[in-house]
Amino acid sequence: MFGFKVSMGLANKFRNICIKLGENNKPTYAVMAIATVKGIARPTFTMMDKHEDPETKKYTALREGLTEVVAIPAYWGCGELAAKIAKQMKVSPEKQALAGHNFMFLGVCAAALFVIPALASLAIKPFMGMIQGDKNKKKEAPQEEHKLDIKENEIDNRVKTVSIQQPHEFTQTFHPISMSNYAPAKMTGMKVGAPW
Amino acid sequence: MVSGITNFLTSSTLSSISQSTTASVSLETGMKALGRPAFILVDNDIDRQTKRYAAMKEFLYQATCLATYMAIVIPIFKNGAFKLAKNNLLKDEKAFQNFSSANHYLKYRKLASMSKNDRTATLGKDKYKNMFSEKIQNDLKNNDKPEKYNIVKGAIEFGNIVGSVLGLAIFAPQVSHLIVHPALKFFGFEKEADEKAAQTKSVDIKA
Repeated sequence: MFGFKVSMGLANKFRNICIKLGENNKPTYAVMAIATVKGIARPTFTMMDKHEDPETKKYTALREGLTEVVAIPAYWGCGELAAKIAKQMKVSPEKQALAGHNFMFLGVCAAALFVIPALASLAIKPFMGMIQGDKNKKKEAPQEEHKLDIKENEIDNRVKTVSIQQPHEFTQTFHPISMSNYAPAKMTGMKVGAPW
Repeated sequence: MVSGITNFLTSSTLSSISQSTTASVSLETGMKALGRPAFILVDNDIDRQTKRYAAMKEFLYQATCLATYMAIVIPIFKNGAFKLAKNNLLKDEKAFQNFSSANHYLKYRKLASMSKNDRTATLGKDKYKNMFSEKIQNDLKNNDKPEKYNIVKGAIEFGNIVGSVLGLAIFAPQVSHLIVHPALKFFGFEKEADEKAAQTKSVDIKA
């Protein structure tokens, strides 16, 4: 019973969508839907590409994602704005309705051809530059650490040469334990008394 | 001049293109294939080699998407949505019973959008004689504004939108990823990148 109601509900929704799309299929519907899914799918596929360098992949994926984020409002805005211009035309109402559709389509084309690439280079470039700037700063810090590593290696080499060329020799002379050099453990803080 | 522009802006042909998802998306993708590489090439902040590579990659990507869309997505989803609506989701709807396929309906709609005189003249041609049922033929011949069966058009457009989204956002990029790299290598755009990678490898070995 519940399943039947759900399927009837779906069928009614589908019927309403079909009637609306049949009466007025705005050119913005398809392009906005495509841009939305592209904004998710295209960066995902770019990140899955095994041929590219990981840094290039991240840059490309971010750029593609941001382009679609810019594209969605640009399509809608250009389409609606162009349709409003059509209302200013002094023609019969029937022709004005046709002009509305045509203007909206031309607005969407203009968005795809000029507005989105222009907006992308205006808005995305500084943003990407900002991210890259941060990355460069982060890259500079490990380089300094690397320099320190090199110095440490140099010291290590010196230590190695010393150990090879000059074998360890005992320079201290051995003194047998006597009353003059004996120090008990309680006085020195050590558990075992040492002869010195 | 002004009347020519007005006629173009109010033309029914342009309106039928703008009302059709497949036509508008194909046109728009074609424009992207030309416009986006052009914008990349005009950019003065990028070095010449990178510009050419990025422009070629973008062109190949859009062109492959367009080809895939037109060859596979349009026929499958257009007819698929019509059949799904006719046989399952909207099988009670009588409008669907007048047409055998999506193309059959679209031919009817094209005739229904014509003026009565043009329509009658077109229906007189041989290929239209047995195309529609008697009821539809009479409707087209006698009515000034024949029924357009918007629900059928809507079902086809719904399929086209779903097909466009799945095709252009998911399927076509996969196909283009398979084609773009070999094509870029074929045109000599990825040679330098390979050489650079080889040089880096040799340096690593010596170090």
